[in-house]
Amino acid sequence: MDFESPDVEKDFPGLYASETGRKSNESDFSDGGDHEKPSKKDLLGRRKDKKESKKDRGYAALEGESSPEEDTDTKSPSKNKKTKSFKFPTKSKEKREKSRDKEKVLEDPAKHKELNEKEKKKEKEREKEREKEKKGKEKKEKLKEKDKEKEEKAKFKLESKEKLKDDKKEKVKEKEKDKVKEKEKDKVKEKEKDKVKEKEKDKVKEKDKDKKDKKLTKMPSTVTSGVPFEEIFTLGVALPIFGVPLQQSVERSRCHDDTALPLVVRDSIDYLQAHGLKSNQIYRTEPDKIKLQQLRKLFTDRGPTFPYHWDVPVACAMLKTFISELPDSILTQELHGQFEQATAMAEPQREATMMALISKLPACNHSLLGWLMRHFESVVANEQTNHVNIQTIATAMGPALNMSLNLLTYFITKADKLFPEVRLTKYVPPLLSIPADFPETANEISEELRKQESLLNQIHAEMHAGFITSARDQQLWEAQRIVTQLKRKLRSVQKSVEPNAAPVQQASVEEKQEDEPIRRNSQPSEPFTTEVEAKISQTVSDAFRGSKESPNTSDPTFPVEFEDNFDFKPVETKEITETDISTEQVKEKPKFTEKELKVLRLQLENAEYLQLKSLLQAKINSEQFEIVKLRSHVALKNKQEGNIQASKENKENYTPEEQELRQKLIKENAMLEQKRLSLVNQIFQERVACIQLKIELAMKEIMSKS
Amino acid sequence: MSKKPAAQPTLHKVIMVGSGGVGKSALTLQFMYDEFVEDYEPTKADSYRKKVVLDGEEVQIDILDTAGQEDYAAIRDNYFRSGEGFLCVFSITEPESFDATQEFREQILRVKNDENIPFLLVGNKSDLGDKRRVPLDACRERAAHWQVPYVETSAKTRDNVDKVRHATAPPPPYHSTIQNAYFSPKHLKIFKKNGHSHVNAYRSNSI
Repeated sequence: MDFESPDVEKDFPGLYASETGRKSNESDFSDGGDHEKPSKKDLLGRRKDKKESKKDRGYAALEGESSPEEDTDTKSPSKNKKTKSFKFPTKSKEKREKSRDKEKVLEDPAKHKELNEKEKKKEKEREKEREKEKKGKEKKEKLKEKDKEKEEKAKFKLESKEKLKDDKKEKVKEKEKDKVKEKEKDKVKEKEKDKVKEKEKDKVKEKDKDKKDKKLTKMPSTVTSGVPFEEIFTLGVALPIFGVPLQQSVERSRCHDDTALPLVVRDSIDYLQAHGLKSNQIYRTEPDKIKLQQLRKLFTDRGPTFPYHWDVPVACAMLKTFISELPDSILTQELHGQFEQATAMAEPQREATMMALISKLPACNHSLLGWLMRHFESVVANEQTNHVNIQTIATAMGPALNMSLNLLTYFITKADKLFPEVRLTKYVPPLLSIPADFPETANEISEELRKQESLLNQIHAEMHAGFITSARDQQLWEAQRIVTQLKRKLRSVQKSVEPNAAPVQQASVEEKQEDEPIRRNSQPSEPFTTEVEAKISQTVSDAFRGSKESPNTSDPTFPVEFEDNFDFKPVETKEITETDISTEQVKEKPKFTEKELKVLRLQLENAEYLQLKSLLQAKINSEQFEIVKLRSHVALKNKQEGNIQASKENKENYTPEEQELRQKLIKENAMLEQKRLSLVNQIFQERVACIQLKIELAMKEIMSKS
Repeated sequence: MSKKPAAQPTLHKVIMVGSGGVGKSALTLQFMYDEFVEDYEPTKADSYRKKVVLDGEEVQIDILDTAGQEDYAAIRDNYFRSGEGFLCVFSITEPESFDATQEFREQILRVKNDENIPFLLVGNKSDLGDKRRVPLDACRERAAHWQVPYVETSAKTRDNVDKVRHATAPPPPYHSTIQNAYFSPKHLKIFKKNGHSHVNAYRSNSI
């Protein structure tokens, strides 16, 4: 397991340095994979026995017995120390454990318990590690703060210290507050974890089963090995996707194309839509339990699935399992009753109420419900071939959904009205690499870009949750590189579309917003001016919001904004892209539609705005320079007039000169602000004039061409 | 862990750090693609891969261009862990960015816990000599204090960009990593050919 030890140590140096006992523990941890091997063998050897003793009951009994122990352990962290020096169980330990299990008649379950305990301990160790990481991070933050303070002090010795100090204090206070909040959050999270633990334990057991299953069926299930075993095991156990609130499940296993569905649901529906609609097995036949377990494990471990993992009954059962294990109703606790009541209403009223209720659902619930109902709708639509009607679905899924037949019937029959925005599209996961023939259209690039960024965010989230392995690091860099690649591609596509505006084309909304913090960084000593600057840049970005949309006709990163502002329908957006890509197309057409005129107008506007932008940028720069000058003036005057001792030591008292200077500075700044505001006003006026001119030009151009 | 099957080129990870607007991205793009981008657009994070020949051996270099802004500090940390060499960039026209290098250095040392981590101090924008506000002596002094090489570059004129390789030698094999990050780009799209297969080999190797 050479992928574990060297990295972990490097990554969290402070941790291990402080706790020397950690080392031995670490080696234990990295040996984890070895633990598994004998256990697997054991399992294999005892497969038959288990079957005889009816595994399910055996597990259930075990669970009840082992849970109290675990609870006490997790509640008192001091106890963890005992398990810390946990080593590979020796024979004597086995004996001890066996003697503890005296009441157990069967040897088999005793060994099982032992296994479970091993796993639990490992889990605890991991948790401990995570806790330490958190502590380490907090320490780092504190250190950072101190450093910052020191640096700030050094930087601004010459400047008026009073204000600065206050600011600093405030900042520190805020940071501390944040920290406290974070700690609280962590606590809450841990509590949640404890709650979830019970379920996790189940999963551990299931995994044991699964391992056995794999050996039984000899399916090539090593496909999960995209990620090292140890790693997926941890992630699957600590962040399960079954039996947790829907929101969590979606976050942990998301579809990267903005559908708020857990991957397992999406894949199941995808499969059924593709292969199940005409099948007479759909929502009718019992699944192969082994296959189902296997699939479930794959999803839990975030491993990839392949067609041979799937068949129609398994997909149905997967869907059903996921839904029935959700802790809360799909319709949410609060609204469930209201939904049921609404079914009894008379028609016009009923639909309105339903719509209102549906709109109240959280996004992920809404999405899941919509997808399910649209899916059922299409299943029932094929009743002639698959012989499934609403009654059949209600029988199969009713208990899991916990809905009355009436409500379900209503949802299915009205699915297209209730969820008009849901389209059952097949999920295409983010690419693992960009193929040479990747489409060069802006739409497709940015669609993929969004997926990759979503994936990247998930990796970051998992890493922040403490799951840091070299494999994930690798994945992170890969995804990051793909994102970079796509961004470059997108840029070059955009450039080729509008060569005139090329140099400034890259300006995005983001840039505007991010200019601000930079300036802040460079002049943290003058909150007043930065405020002004912030205002300015805000106004500037406001001024350009309109312009930014127009160049982005070919940049679907902001399609929503685009549509919002211009009331374009998707079809029109497409058209725009087309015209963007080949303006020749426009020329060929004898007559111009209103839309095309609009497009041309927007394009021209865009160029104008970009010019304006650089102008403004220059102005902002000169303003900045002025501020720097003023600052040095003030510093000089302070030195000349004020007695240095007073300014350095008697910080609490303002000398009249200083007071005066401060007043002066404030006045100057106020004047600056006015100056700037008037500038901005002028620029606005210019802008309006420019737009009008450009529009006129565009119109003339068009007229002459046609 | 760093040992890869013979068929796969070795992979080194280099990370660019420094305050916002000092020219990390400009440097990176100059190394990667021989281009200079005039406009400023803050980076969140960008990663590039490049294949270079080093001591007769073909190696791959991953260059990560990080965000200078504090807003993305959390993301940055995830990358620091796997970085093998660091280029700490500041602008010679901006004393604040020079001061910030101290913080970056400390941050990196905290994460990596290794004083000898390959590290290069880079003063960028050397083409703006008339606006210089960080004296050369101060830069050299800091580099000497840290016992790291110092180099002044200009992403715009490509000045010294190739010279960086002569900068002196931190302990191998990493010195070559850093230096090669600066090699003039000859191979452009390695990723498509090797990126994916490389990962698989790496994974199966570690299992």
